[in-house]
Order: sequence, then structure tokens, then C-alpha cells
Amino acid sequence: MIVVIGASNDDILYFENVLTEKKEIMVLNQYRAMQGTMFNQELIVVGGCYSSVLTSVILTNILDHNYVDLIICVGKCIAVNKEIKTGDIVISRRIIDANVDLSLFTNVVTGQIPSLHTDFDVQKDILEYLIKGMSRRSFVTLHLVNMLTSDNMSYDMMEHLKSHTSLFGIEDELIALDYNSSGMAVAATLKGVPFISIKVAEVKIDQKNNLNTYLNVLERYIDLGKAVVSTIDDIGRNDILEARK
Amino acid sequence: MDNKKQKERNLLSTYKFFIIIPIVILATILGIAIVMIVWYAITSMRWLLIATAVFAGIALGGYIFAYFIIIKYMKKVFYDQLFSTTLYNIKHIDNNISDLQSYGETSIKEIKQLEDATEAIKQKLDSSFLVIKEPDFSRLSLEYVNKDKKLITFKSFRKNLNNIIFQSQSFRNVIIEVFYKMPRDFTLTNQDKDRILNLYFKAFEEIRNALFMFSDDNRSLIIYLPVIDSFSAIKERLEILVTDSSVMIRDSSGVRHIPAQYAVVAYPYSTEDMILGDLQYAKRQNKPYNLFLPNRIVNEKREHLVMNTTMNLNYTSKIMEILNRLDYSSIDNEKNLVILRDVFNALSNLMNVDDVGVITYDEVEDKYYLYEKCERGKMFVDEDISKNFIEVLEKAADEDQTYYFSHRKNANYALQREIDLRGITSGDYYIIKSMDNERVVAIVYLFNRGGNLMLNSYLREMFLVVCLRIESYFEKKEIADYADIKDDQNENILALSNMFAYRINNDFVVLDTSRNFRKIFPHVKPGQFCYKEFFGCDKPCKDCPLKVHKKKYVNLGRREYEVNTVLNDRKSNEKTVVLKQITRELESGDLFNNNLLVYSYKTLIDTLNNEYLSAGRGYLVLLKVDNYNKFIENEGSGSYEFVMRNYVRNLKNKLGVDDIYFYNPTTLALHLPYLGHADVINTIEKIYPLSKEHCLESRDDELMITYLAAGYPHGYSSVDDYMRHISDFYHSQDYVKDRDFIYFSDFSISRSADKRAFIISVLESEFSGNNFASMNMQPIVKVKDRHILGAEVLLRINDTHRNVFFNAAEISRIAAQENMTHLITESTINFVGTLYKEYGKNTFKTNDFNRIAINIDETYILNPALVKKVTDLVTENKLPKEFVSAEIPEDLINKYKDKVGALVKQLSASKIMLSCDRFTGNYADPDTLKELGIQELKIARDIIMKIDRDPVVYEELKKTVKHAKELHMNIAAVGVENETQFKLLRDLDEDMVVQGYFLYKPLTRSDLIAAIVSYQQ
Repeated sequence: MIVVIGASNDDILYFENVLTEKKEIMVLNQYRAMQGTMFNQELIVVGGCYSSVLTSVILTNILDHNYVDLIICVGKCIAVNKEIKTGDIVISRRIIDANVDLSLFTNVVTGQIPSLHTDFDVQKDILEYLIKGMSRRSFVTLHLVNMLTSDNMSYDMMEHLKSHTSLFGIEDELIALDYNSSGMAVAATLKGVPFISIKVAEVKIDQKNNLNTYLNVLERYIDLGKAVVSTIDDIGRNDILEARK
Repeated sequence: MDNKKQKERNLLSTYKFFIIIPIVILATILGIAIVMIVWYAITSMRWLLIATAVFAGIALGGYIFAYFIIIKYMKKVFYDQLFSTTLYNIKHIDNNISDLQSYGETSIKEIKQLEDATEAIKQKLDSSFLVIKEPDFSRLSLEYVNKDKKLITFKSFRKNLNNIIFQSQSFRNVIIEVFYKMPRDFTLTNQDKDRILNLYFKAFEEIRNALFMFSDDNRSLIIYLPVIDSFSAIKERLEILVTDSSVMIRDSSGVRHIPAQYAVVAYPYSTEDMILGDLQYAKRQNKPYNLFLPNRIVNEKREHLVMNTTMNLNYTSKIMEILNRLDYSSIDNEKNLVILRDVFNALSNLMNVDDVGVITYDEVEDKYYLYEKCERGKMFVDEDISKNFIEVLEKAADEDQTYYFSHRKNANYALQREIDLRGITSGDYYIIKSMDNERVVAIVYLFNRGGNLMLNSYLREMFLVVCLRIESYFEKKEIADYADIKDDQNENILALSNMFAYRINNDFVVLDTSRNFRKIFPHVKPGQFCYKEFFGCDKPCKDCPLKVHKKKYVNLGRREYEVNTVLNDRKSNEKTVVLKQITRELESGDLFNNNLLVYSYKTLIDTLNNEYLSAGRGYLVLLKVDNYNKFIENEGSGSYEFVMRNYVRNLKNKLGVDDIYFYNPTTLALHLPYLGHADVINTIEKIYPLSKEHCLESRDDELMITYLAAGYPHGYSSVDDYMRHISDFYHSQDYVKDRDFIYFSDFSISRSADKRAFIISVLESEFSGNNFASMNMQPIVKVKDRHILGAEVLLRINDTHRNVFFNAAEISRIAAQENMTHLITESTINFVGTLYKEYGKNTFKTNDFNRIAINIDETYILNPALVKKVTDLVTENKLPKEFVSAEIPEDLINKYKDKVGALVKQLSASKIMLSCDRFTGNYADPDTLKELGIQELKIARDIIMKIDRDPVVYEELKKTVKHAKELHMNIAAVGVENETQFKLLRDLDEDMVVQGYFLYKPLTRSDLIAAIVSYQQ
């Protein structure tokens, strides 16, 4: 089974629509999810994953009740580097929890949760398949990025993150910001499930989002959806998830 | 006390007393009279009869007198005292006015009770505040679709709209339409509807009595909110909701997201009979968020609807009365603070608000602080008022600078964070900005802690009126403070520059003197004659600068002064005379030129040296005044200086041109770094009108300026070389004076600085003779086989100095104003005639080229003689039927409805085909155009450019084309820029003709002929 998670309804609308034999399920009696099949694979599509904490809780619940092969986090994000233009699609090669800094109290680095890795790397095979799928199905520019997750998306915090990327050792690399990927990474790592985050850059870090920026993102959601669906098809045919089995 | 109690009477007993006593008296009188009559009947004593008659007369007279007294007493008690006073009081109570009448001295118990009750009400009203009545729709015949009475049918909403608005008219009520631009065959599915409905139920759950309904076409959700606080909060909320509102459709082009769009209208901006129409108008703007708030004047007949209000305007006038006592010029600021405190106390009591006050900005400290507040207000200390807080308040404010949030939840999200920090739960505030609109100078606020604040629109208007008055106080105060500071600054500048000033009237009486003047000449007092006190003359000086308009040099004491009048406003009766002390320092090496108030020549050289050091590029333009002699000869040097200073001031203030230098007494130098020659021309075009502005009474004060431009470095190795080159150019005879022309030193470009004159000269040169260089033609192509069947004549005049094409509309407008349209028309007509003569019988005929389209603009409609020229063209050249096609824009057809009919008739009679250009359907429908005699619709570029991106536009075009074909009208499309658009149009109608860059750009005559021939080959 593959799980697709997103925050808003529009993040996951495409996936809900392409599911077959679908039925509605409730996670934790509160969060609406859709279960169905796609290319002979079972899929759960769940929305409402605002904040890394909630994402972690929702996913843990799903992982407890299902045998999941892959988790894909979709939606929109904020571009930090000027190389990433709005409307570009970014794929996480590494996810960092920017909520956490316990370095004063324990022997960890900034962004590291004690007992877990300093950051969360995406499995290479998944990455390759997704990039292949994207290049085949879409002309949109792709970027492999470090996905920084913060539950505080205020402008002050974004400025703080922008100026402190050196703390995470990624100041020279491509960076995007979102508010749920690290929740997925933590839950998936603890359960040993591969994961990836693939998002559309809505705005630059110093730009304010509005209706127009959102509508640009919406146009890209179809490209993103098609690429992810195509990858799911490839994954199904190539059975690449052997590593886990 | 006991005596008083004994005297007190009961109203009922009084009533009984006054009814029974007259009856008893009357009965007694009648009884006695009857007895006496009976006695007379028995005894027949004559005196008894007389006695009976006298008794009856006296008794009845007494009775009538007593009855009159009783009636008078009863009128006093029941009418004057009880009815009139009660009626007066009821009316006042109804209007919430505490000024109630007393029942006066009375001994009646019930009236005393009324008096006590009235006194109690009076006390309550004095300490009352207003409570707002919420709307109640329960008595309306709304058809509810769901159990919780939120979802209703749109039909019943429309039917009850007037009553719904009437119920909640005291508030801003808003109708939001969440609409989806879907292709024709799609509507919202039941699943979509459930999801969207739940989403918006939840989003507006705190707004009581909100109504929701789906439109009849099932493509939109309509939400009625009876009470909203601010438009910015609604917009913010909708912007967030949009991310959960999209629906997905699957059609031949694949799967697509259809995002929600919003149309928002509000009462009372829209009236109840127009609000749904306005909603449709808002939708047509077709942006993601379409707010439409028309500002119509409300018909007074509807006033009766507005009377149902808890508001009383007396409160406003009472508060305004206090505010009128504010004195901005008062040195005693404490007095103003007390007045403001009184007003805030009144507002706080009236609206039951915890804190009312005003925050203001301290420019010196660069921080905001609490200026004044009501007595019970304890919400803020100055430390709470951070700049960030003020910024958030400013950002949230609506367009009228107010912002109201009745609950914490209704506030904008950024504001919620700030008010949480300060414990504010509801409020209303008004932002006062500085006169330049750059900075918040004050905020008048009403803030509650721990409760909601319900204000209807009348209370909000009242608050706004009070705030506007406070704003005008701050504005006047700012002006007064500014004037004080400026006054000080002016005095200081005068002192620093060794200048003294005094004002006199036309009779040379001293009105006022500058501060430093008073120190030097303490004996000169206002009211004295200047010529007497300064110069010891008995009559005005012969060489007075005010009379001769020339500077005057005088020795006063040990010092020499230059007397001039450069600070004068010539239109004023008061004259300012300036005495400038002459010293060596002022004459040499200054950074500024003191006479013209521009940078000196030395500064110009320094600036250019810096430019050369930093490898800069740019231009220096010399503004050489050709007619300076006129000023010197007629009015003296003072007048020339005055005009030039005015010119320089305008350059600085109106156009922001600041790099102005002194070159020589008749020439200024304008430094334009980083500009190329085309930019220089643009700049000069902009500054040219300033040289023609009048500042003298004579109005003969226009400057004739020759603009000499020279670029740097342009091969000049040093500033010396460059300045030598400029000097040579300046003194050469390579240019003609007195023409307001621009000349460049490095290349032979010269043209008028006046854009209008330049365009006129271009028109004259372009259209004199039949060279037709400016006539281009864009092929009209059949969409079916790409065959060129005609061409549209387009005016393409190149501005060779800047290498751009002139805007055709601007050319037409100037030509019309200068009566030169005939040149263009004749040239166009000659062009078409010549073209037909040369190619009509051969190339055109063999290649089936059968149409030349010309544009009909406003000038044709207003000038029938031009139309005659077009019709003559057809007759004289024997052009085939409909070879000439006249294109009239849709907006002009609408604008000149009454004139277009005659024009069309005249053109049709000459076998000219009529086409409606730039057709959008916004101004006219195909039926009307057909009736007018229009034979073709030429679809506007704006529509064609969207058809490949927006299926809705394509669908609408499809409908228009279908409709036009039913009316047997031809269809043309312009602005086809890619293959997709071309194919879509071909799919729509194979008979259509098209124009566009995808097929052909506008071509010269020879290129057009080549294109026609090459197509055939």
C-alpha cells in the first residue's frame, strides 16, 4: 500500500479523483481519508496534515493499521534559493526538522531529535523513479532540495530559517520550506517505511502568498499528480520496494 | 409629612368626586325645584312660582359655573399634565433621550407614581449604552433544505431578499458567491456540494443567521452574511478557504482543477433591488476575488426602511459638540486632552466599551504613545504600543481606514496574534495617516477586554464621524506645528545667509519683519513707511525694486546690502523685500547659486569629475533661455530671476528633477546620468510644459528654451575636453533659436521639445504627398485555406528619433484637435484608390483579393464630411461592391448610438461593408448591431488571446459565433498569435476570416503584393 498525504483539500484532490474502487475512511475518527486502488496498488489519500506534529500522529495511526510500502507527501512549499522559481516542482532528497534544537541539553546537532538521525534521507531508488517519472510526464523544472520543515510559518521565523541554514550545514544547497514533511519522515523512519516529499514552490521566501500565487500552484498540481501517479505505476511494475521486504 | 399625606388624593376618588358631586347637586336642585312646583300646584301661590323660577335660575347658573371650574381642573390634570407630559416623555424614551419632562406639582397619588417612574427612566437613560438587535428570519417564508435552517433555496432567498435585508439593515450585510468557471456540460456534483457546503458552514459558523444556497445552475454556492465586521477579514478568510475549495473535472482535455472564485457585494453599498445584479457584475470581473462596492446615492423614498434603528443621532451631535471645542493652535495642550477625554468617556459609556482612546506618533522619539484615553481605560501602557502592533493594525484596516472586529475570531489572523498579547477581544479603530499618506500618525480605538462588541452600521458611522473630526484636529495640528517649524527654519536660513526680510503692502507700509531684521533695525516697526524709516525719504524711492524690477544696492550703516524682491508672489498684494548683505564669501566658490537656487557651475564640474572617475555615462542638457532679454527689458532682472526660480522650483517639485546647475546667467544645465538619447528626448518632452507655465500677472512670461544635449564620455577623455566641446556647441551656429527645439551635439537629430508640435510636424511630413510610407496592411486570411482575401489598412508612423512606433490613437487624437484628420483620411483614401488602380484589375482580381478594411474612429462620426470622402472614393474609383470595409469599434457604436445609424446608412448606400471592430459583447449584442446594419463582427484581440487557455471564454465565443451566424452576420477575428488559436477558430467556423501575427504581421504595400502572389504559387 502507498500513502499520499497533503494538507489542503486541493493538495490531494487529483489523487482522490484518479482512485478507483474508492471508499471514505476516517483516521482517528476525525480526519477524512480516501482508500482505493491505482494501477493494482492499494492507496490511501489523506488530507488535513497541517503541522509536522499532526502529520506524524495521523501517519502513525495509518501505519499501525496498514502494511505501507511508501509514503508520498504532496502540496506546496516556499522556495528559499533564487534558483527555484515559483511554479517549479521540488523533490526532497533530504528532510530536516527545523522545529528542533536540543543541542544545549543533549549531544545532538540542531534539527536532530535524540535517538534519531541528524536528518532524514530519502531512499535513492524512490528518488530515481520519481525523477524519471517527472521528466517523462512533465516539462516543469525539477529541483532536488533539502526540505526544511517548520510548524511556525510566520515571516519572522522564515527570515530566521533563511539566515540560519548554516546551522543545518546546508547553506550552499537548494532549500525549500514546508510545514509537514518532517512529521512524515519521523513517523516513517520509526516504522521503517520509505518516504518522499514532492511539492510545488508557491512563493519565494521574501514574497507574500495570495490568491494569484495559489492559482499558479494549482496549475502545477496536475503535473505533480500525473508524475506521482506515473511513478506509482513504475513502482508497481518494477517492484522496487524489495529493500523493505 | 402627615399633613402632606392627608392632602394626597387618589386619582379614582378624584374622578368619582368630580362625577358624583355634579350629579348630586343637579339632583338636589331638581328635587327642590320639583317640590316647589308641586307645592305651587297644590297652593297656586304666585310668589311660589316666582321663587321657584329664581331658585332654578340661580341654582343652574351656579351649577354651570361649578361645572366650568371642574372641566378646567380636569383638563389641567388629564390633558395638560397627564397626556401631554406622557406623550412628550414617550417620544423621548423612544429616542433614548434622557431629557424627560416633569409632571409638575400635584396632589394626585397616581401622577406622583408616574413622576417617580419617569425619574427612574431618566436615570437609566443617563447611564445607558446601546444594545444592538440581531436579525431574525424566523417569520420569513424561507424554504429550508436542511434541518439546521442554514441551507435554503435560492428561489426563496430571491423572493424574500428585501425582508432579509430589512431585518439586518443596520449592519453591513454581504452576499458572497463562490463560483466555478466550468465548461458548459459540467456542474457541481453532490459530493462536491456536500464538501463545499460543510467547509463554508464551518468557516462562517460564528456568524449567526448566515444563509447558504446553491445557485439554480448548480455551479456556485451563495452565502448571505447578515453582519460582517470588515471586508479585509472576509477577503483573508476566503483566500485561505480557496485552498480547500477547488473541484476537479474530467473532460476531453484530461483532468483539471477548477478553482473557486469569489464575487462579493454588500448592502448598503448596493441597494436591495440592485444587489443581485451587482453580484453578477462582480462575477464578470473574472478575477479570483471580485469585490464590488458601488457608491450609489440612495433614493430618499426608501428612508422609511431605515427608521428601524436603535441609534439616535443626538448622541453624535452631543459628542461632536464637545469635539468642536478642540483648539489646534492652543499652546495649552492639556485643555485639548481634557476635551478628548470627555469624548472618549462619552463613547465608552454609550457603547459600553472598556477602553477608548487615541494613540499617536512622536516624530522626535520615533515611537508611538498613548495620547489620551477614557477614564475607565486601563488597557494600554506606552510599552504595549510597538511599531509592529501599529503596522498590523494599519495592514488590516479597510479602505475607509476603519477596522471592526466584533469577536476575536472575526479579526484578521495577523491581528489576532497581537490582540491576544494585549488581551483585547473585540474592537473598532480608525487609522489617521500623515498628509503624505506615508505614515500612521494616530489611531483612534475602541477596544474591549473579555467581551464582544456589537456595533450596527449607524454606530460605526457615528464612530467614523467622531474619528474624522479627531483626524481633522490632528491634521490641523500637524500643519500648525509644521508651519511653526518652517517659520523657525526660514528665520534660521535667512540668518545664516546674511539676509533680512520685511513685508510691505502696496502703500509701502511695513506689515511684518523677520526676526534677525528686528535685531539689526530695532527702530523699524509695523505700520511705518519703509522708505522713510530705512532710506530717509519722504516718498517711495525712485529705484525701488518693486517699481523698477531691478536689484538695488544701498549702504545702511557700515554695511552694503542688495535689495531685491525674489521671494515675492507677484499675484499677492503683500510684497516681501529681501536685504542681502554683500560679503566676499558669498561671491566666490559657493556650492549653490544664490540667485536661482540651483547648484553652481563649480558643483557641475565636481559632479562630472565624479562621473568620469566612476566611468559613468549620461547626458548634460543645456536649457538655454532664448527670450531672457524680453524679461530684462520689460520688467527688469528681478522679474527674470523670479520666473527662472519658479521654473526651477517646478522642475524640482513637479517632476522631481534635482540635478540642475548654473551654466551661465541665461542657461541652466540638467545632468541626466545613465540616460540614452531616447530617454533624454522623453525627459525633455516631460519638462517642456513647465517652461510654458505662467507665474507673472502679465502672462507674457513663457520661456523660450533651446535644449542642447551632449553625451559623455563619447570619446572625450576628460571633463575639460567634454566641457570645451559643450562650450563650442553652445557658441556654434548649428542650431536655430526661439523654436523650443532639441539639438544633440554628436548626431544630427533635431526636433521640437513639444511632443504635440513634433507629432504635428510628423503628420505634415508623413501625409504631404502620396508617399504612403506610413500605411501598412495586415492581411485578412480565410481560416479554411489561409487564402488572403483582403487587408486592413493600419497607420504605422515610426518615431525615427526613438525607433518606436507612435501610438495610433494618440496620433488620431492630436490630428483631430489640430484639424488634421483630413490629412490622414485623404491619405488613406488616396492609398486605397491608388492601390486599386495599380493592382485592382490584375493581381487582386486574379487572386480573389476583394477587401480593404479601413478604421472609422470618433472623428468620422463627429465629422460627416470625412465620411463623404470615403463614399466618394468608392464612386470615383468605381470600386466593386463591398471592396471597402469600414470598421467601427463596438464602444463607439455604443457611445454614439444616435449618430452611428446615419453613418451606417450613408456608408451602406455606397456599397461599403460595415464591420463592428473590437467586438466583446460588453457594449452591444449582435441583434442590435444587425438592426443597425452592421454586417460583420470582428472579435476583439482580448478574447482571441484567451481562447486557447480558458475553455469558458472559448465556449462563450462559440455561443456568440452561433448567434451571429443565425443572424447571417460574418465573423472575423484579430490577434491570432499561435497555431492553437488558429485551429480553435477553424473548428468554430470555417467561413471565418482572421488576422494576426501568427499569419502575417502588418506589411508594406510591396510585401503584401508579394504575399498574395506567393500564396497563389
